[in-house]
Amino acid sequence: MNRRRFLASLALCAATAAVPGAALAAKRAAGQAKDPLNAPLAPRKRLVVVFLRGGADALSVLPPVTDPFYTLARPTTALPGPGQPGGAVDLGEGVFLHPALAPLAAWYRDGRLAFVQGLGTPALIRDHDAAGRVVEAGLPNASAASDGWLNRLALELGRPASPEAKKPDRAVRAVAISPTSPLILAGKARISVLPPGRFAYPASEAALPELAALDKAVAPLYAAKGVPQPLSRAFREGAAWRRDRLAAYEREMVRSRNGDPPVSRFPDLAARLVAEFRRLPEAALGFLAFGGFDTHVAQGAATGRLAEALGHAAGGLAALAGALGPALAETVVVVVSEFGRGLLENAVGGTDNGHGGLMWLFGGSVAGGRVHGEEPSLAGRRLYRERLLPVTMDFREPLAAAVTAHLGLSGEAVARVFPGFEPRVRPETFFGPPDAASRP
Amino acid sequence: MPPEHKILHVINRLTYGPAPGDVERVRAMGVAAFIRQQLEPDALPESRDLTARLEALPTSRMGAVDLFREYGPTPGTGGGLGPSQVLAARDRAGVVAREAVQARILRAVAAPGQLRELLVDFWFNHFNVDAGHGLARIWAGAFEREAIRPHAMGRFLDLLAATAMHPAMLIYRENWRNVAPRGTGEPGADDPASGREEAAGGESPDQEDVPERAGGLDETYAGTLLAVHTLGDETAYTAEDRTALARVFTGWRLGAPRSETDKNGFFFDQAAHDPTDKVFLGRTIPGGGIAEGAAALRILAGHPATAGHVCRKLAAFFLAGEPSPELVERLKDVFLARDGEIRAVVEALFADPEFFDEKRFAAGLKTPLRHVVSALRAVGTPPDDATPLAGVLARMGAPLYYCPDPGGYPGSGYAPTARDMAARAAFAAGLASGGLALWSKRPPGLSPQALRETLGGAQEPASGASSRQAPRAGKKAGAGKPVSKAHLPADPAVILAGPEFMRY
Repeated sequence: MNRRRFLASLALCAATAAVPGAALAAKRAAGQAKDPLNAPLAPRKRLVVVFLRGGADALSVLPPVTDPFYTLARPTTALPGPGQPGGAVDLGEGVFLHPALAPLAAWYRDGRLAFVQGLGTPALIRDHDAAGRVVEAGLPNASAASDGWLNRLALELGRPASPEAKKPDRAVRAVAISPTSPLILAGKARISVLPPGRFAYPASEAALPELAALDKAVAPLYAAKGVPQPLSRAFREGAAWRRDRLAAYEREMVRSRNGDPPVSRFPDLAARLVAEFRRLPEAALGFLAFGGFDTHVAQGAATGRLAEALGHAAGGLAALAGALGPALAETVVVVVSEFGRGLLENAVGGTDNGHGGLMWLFGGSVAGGRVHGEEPSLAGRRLYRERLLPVTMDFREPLAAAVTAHLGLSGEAVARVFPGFEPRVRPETFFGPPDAASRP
Repeated sequence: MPPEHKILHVINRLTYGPAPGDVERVRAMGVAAFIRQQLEPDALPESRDLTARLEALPTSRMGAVDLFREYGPTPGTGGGLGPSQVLAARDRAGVVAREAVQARILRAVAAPGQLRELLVDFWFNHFNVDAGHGLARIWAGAFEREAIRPHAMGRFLDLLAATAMHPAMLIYRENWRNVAPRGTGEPGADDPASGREEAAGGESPDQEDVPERAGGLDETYAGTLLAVHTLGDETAYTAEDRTALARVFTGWRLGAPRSETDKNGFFFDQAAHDPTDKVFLGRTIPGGGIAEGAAALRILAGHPATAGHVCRKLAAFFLAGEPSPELVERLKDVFLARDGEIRAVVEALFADPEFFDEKRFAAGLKTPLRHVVSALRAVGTPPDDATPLAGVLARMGAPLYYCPDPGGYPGSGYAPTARDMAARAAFAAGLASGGLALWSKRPPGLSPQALRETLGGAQEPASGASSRQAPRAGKKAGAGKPVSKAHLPADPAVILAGPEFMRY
């Protein structure tokens, strides 16, 4: 679907809602439908936040394959360029996409998908939980936070238009599928949290079977007669060092999941979230969180752990779009992580926790087909001494823009959703009204 | 040493390791002829493929002054540089360090004059500069090309003088700010240090790196020169000698690289020089401007302690272990008699019976650089892109050009660390699986048969002499069983990660 046709369908949608007869007919059709899952969603602006736990690697989602420093920083996890086996997808203007995300390329090209780079928390936080709390609370210091920005946003949506109306808002405006009540939805507004059902992660994700086999194969050679002692000792210590490192990474990777289901559940939970939107017509906010992006070990490149996780993420977004149907035109999906990953590959084929990351914006009113923010430079000074990609934009900028430009709330609402935060980027940067954006 | 060991030994010590066909070639031409050939690298035909690959690295042909003009901090327009401009200039300059690493690795893998390449590595570490130190980031490669490479087999004094005057060394060892202390400067110049600064604003190399410019004596370079580059023996000099030497080098500063006339980045600043007479190592150096530095370097280059220090280090590098004191004496005599000619010293070393002593066979443990380069040589196909190897070396704990220690990376007596060994296993696995994408097409030399053939007997489990020097503590079931050649691994990763490949 190109942008023009997409806009045409959007216009049709709006027409249906505007003409009472047509809307009535649609309502009747919905009531008669045998399968309530296929009923169209109530027309409403919606915002869905998808949290990829662990810190998704920005340099793999949008690999800078033309930058020669990329292969220096990532000797075994750099993606090949377009045209090569497993090569990145060329999105034009120097932007490339991970091949596992190829299904998203069409959305990028018709302007429904955008990325924001160099995004993150104002302060550098190495800990998954602490950084995740900042992103969910929407506050730079979230150690004592008791409520989340999505809940505060739900309060804003339920705020009566005139101050005289004292009737409390009883509508459920936010829904989530999560094993526990997430911080982002904690607060005074009513919410609905559904359990995701049973799920399991693969056992020992931080294993390197290839290197374990190699260690096993060479161990007798190092133990053989005639091998100098410093060498055999270094070998044993090296193998032990790797085992310890892997065990420590394993623990961290498990913690980074935050108890949330693996991203392979994204497609079916996306459908359930939309079903919940259908059940609760006042609900405008949704939240999903998935683990599996803390790729400290064997991250892989075109294939491997991260490629698989990204493939599930692409599948999940497609499932979400499919379940939303025409309502996608009125929905914005924001995909976030607690931080990005470091520039340098580590010694076990992975990348470590970094700072600057990536946000994905998807949906009808997104000013898509572009990458916002400042491109991180990979050169010189960061290679050996500094391992982080910088944060050049506060993570709340696109969120605040969604509050005003997409949901239509006021600047005062932003000040209450993100206390103490003053947006510096114009909201229209991220969310252009579609008709305005399509005009030359 | 048995003849077959001799062949492998001479390849292992005079090159970065056997490439396909090397063992047969040396067997055919003879060990002595091979040594003679390596001692005359200019007579060896240049590899056209290597030349073409180096051509593709434009900054690796630029001189220090041009590099500064192109990649140095951009001149401030009135108010100096903002922090973001400084960082942007640095990011732009990253290409210089990257191409320098690529050039060094490509040459080490593919240059036919392997002995010279080893000596370039040896001397670079001997006169180490750290590319992480201020402006040295754009000059580390130029330092190698301009100060080290031309003299790697030449006269020690020339090497010493070239390194002393090179802007990379002036920055790294802080001599660019070594100026005459107040009151000792030229008569009439009350404050030569601050006066210079105003006169030549462009000369300040990098404001960001050097927040404050204290005028005065800086003994950093003098200390390194004595302790690392030359005498090496703390009993051979006193603190007064070091101070006197620092005063000799006052005014040895960076050229004004933006001036049209500057050719090499060095600038002798008469006004910042301490013109008084100095007593250095018991000899009087009369005040005479830049000639004092030349006199001091000549004294140092011809000093018996320098000869001993340099010869011991060279011998240890090629023997992969401590030389006997007698051998050091023999080499020292050559050094002093031949006016510090490095070629003559290594020639004498290779002709010495100690060089072919059986206990020296496979006695060394490879440094990260030697390990990586020897693996690529064994495969026999230079990488399409050497850039990932810079990252591999960093992971092994030895990023090229980024050794912060003035003594450089160790050239002998190295024992791999645990992390280094873990990184070597990952490197071997990456090469074997293709996960480390160095070649667009899997090179034929990566097959286990080809590797075994290339590496010759080096892959046979060590026995005899080497087992004597490494008595094993404790016993494991089957551990002491010698592995026969038939059981040698069928996986290239096992060969490249095995203990025999760690040794040379």
